[in-house]
Amino acid sequence: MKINKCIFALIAGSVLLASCNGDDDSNAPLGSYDNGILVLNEGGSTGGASVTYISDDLQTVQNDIFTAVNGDDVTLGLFPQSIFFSGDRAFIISNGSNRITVVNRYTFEKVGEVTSGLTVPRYGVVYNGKAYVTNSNLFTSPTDDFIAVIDLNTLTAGTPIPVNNQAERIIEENGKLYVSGGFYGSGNVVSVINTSNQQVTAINVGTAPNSLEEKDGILYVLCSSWNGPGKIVRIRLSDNALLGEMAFAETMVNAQNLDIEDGFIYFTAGPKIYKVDPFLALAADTPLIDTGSESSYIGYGFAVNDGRIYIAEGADDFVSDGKIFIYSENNGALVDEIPVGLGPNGFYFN
Amino acid sequence: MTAKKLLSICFLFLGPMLWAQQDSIALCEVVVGDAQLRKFSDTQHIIVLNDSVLGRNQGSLAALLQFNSSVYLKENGFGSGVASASFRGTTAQQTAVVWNGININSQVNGQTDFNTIATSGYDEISVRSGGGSVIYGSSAIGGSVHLSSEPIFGDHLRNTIEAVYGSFNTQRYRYKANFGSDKFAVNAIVYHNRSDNDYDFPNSTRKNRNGQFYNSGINVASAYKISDRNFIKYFGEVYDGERHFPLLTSSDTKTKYRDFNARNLVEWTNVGNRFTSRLKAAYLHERYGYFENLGTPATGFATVETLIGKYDFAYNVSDDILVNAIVDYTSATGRGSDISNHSRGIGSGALLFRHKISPKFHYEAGIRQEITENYDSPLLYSAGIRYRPFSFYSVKLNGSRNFRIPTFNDLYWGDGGNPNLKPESSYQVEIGNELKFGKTTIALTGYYMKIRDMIQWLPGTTSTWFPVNVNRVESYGAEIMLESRQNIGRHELLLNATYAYAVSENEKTQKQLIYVPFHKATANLSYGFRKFSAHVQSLFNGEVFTRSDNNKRYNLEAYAVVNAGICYDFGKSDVYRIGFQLRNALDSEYETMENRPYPGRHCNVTLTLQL
Repeated sequence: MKINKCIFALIAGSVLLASCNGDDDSNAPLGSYDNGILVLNEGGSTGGASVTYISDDLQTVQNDIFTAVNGDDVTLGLFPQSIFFSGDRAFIISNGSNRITVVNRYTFEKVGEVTSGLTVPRYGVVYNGKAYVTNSNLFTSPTDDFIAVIDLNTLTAGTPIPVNNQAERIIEENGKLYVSGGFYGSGNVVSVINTSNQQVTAINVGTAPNSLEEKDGILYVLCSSWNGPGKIVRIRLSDNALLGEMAFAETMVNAQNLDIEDGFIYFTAGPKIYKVDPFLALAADTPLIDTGSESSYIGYGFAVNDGRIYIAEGADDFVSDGKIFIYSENNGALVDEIPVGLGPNGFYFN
Repeated sequence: MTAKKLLSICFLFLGPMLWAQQDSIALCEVVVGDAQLRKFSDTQHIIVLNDSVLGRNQGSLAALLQFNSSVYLKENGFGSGVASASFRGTTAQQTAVVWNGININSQVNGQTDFNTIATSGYDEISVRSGGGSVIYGSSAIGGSVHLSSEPIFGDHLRNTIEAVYGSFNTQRYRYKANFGSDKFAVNAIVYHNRSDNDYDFPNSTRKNRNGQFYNSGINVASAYKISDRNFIKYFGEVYDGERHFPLLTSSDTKTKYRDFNARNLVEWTNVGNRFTSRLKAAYLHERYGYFENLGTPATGFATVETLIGKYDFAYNVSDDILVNAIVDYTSATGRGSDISNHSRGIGSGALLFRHKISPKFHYEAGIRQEITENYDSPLLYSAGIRYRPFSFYSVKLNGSRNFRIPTFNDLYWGDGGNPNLKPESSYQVEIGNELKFGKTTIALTGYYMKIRDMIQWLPGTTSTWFPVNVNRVESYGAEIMLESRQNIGRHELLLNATYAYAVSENEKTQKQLIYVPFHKATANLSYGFRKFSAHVQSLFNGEVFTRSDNNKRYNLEAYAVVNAGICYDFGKSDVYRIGFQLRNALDSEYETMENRPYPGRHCNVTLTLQL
């Protein structure tokens, strides 16, 4: 631990020195953890959550940067689920601790926290000076989920918005919030919330909508239960009309992680990564990449960014550190494989 | 050497009654609830913890075994959450807890939570490492812990009142009534334990939040002598407890558990010239509630009612040969938030045999078969020999096949249970050496064990999570136990020590199982002089892995913990005793689970009245 800290100090010091030499270079790092990839590791039921930093050139990998910067006495809490950003702040949502830890996204120094108004918080999005964070509330009730509304200046939660359906992933488009309402095999709706009047509209999309993204006025929603084939539903944002669906081959079970990049939809099903045209009617089981992973936790995190495809693999028993695989977006070739922390569940880009 | 010198040098000590002959030894054998433990454990070593040892340890069975045996315990800090105990690198579900001869592991999850057993409720607790015998049923793979209370015939009346107050507002109260006549005997204990348990973590700005607990109980052991050859016994206990689950960070959702257990056992014993016949009927009730959020009703709960009928016939074929046949039937009916309504019936038959060929050479053997519709049950067997070539040395050899049956959770959990599970089963052998020199006994035991069909819950393709018989484990190791008593004039010294070396590997990965220390050692020293007594307890626990790939970065460091106490008796016919105990005297930082520190130095005061 002490040696790690020394190394960290050396690296941090050299980065600072390096940054002093530059002029007005727009790539000049804004902190030790700029120009790189952040991997969120959720840890287990006894803790062990961490954030791994990987430099863009993949040459520097540093585990548990949050503890390295903030010390052993400050913790992210149990099960950090996701991170959202506002300016130079990163908001790390820990669902097991009803906590959002606010750090400088480049230095990872803790600058604040939100510890009230949250009950099993999951994902967040920022709009108009406020963060909207989904909360599962009691696991046993699918109808008590809510959106916490957090003032980003004071870091306090205002009146929550009840969703009356499950609330998981959340995006914002034109002042409206789109919330996926699926989890494993349950839930059927995408909830649309008008931030100006907090009115909630439910759109029925099918079993377990688990990820969603907007592109050119259309919302793409990936639906799939853990034991059945999935589909992608297209919704026109202007009038919430269902435009159509892309069905999946029956062998593509437990599809997750919809991500739209460079005009294509990427998603995972088990150990395989798929790349499809958004307007296909039927997605055949012809993966772009077969990771070959035998872990049940392959695809626990996934992202496509700047020419690379990132996929996280939790250890099969979830009692050891996981790793990530990086592939070329161009040809699907494996670029690198990097060990990270316990239960890697998401990628974020600085 | 004067007492003062001894004290100043060693810091050590006793209880005047510390090794006073425990009541049970003088007892007529028929009164003992767990007859097989005495009759058929000749080829294994047993540690017996009696009333005085129990009194020195904080209320829970977890704390007792941590300091007095090679059993390894993990819990979420002091007295918090679930305490899992394991022997020889096995799991908590491979550890049987036996109450007056009846296995009381939960039908729901297959283990006993050692924080729900208050040691205040028993006169004697015995610890037996290894499978060895077939009679304790499911879970007796790594070893078994035996809880007993024994009524004594003969005119007597003794009342004991004890109160303990300690750091973190920890309070323990116990009233014990022990009375009897030639015909009738009762041993009744009422207790209440509670603690705010809000200690500061050593060298940290954090503290143990939401760790408070309380439990109360009544335990009764009674016997009625119908005639010289016929006895009726009743054992009963009720436990009611609530434990909050400590938080990792201050904003975690606060949760708690409630447990309610009731156990009743009636036994009719008939003693003939050559036989002993026992008919037992037991009714066990277990109930738990898990509160996902303190503000709401229990979201997870289960109740299981178990009826047990048992007939046990022991026949002395000759003075040297004993044959014991046991048949029993267990019917368990469970219902709960995640296991819906299920019942299972298990019948079994066992045959035990013991032969003393000569005073130097004994052997024993047993077989047992269960019959149930719920799973395929293997034939269990055990055999052991004891050879004593010299008066100071004996060697013991024991081998057995044991098992752990699938639990209600394993079989019926939500959409995830797996009705096709097999029991976990083990093969093991051990060789023990026992040396006795005067009042010093040393036991050295080596063992080898293979466990197969270990049940593990995995995320699956046919269900979100489901249990499968997947892992195989290979374990081997050694245990050393030392007990030594010295009397020098009126000075009395007692030393107890254990050391265990345990390798327990997943056969596929060749990695040591997580939370299994390679090394564990305990040493307890007691000193007594007239009405003064003192003791020191110490524990060393080697580092443990917390990651299945044995990544050392996450290891829990080795630790040593020392407790020390003194007490003094006032009064003549009645005894008034006052005691003081310093716990974790060296202020060690330690944890048995990742991120769950134990308290630093703390203390308690005990007042005992014996009337």
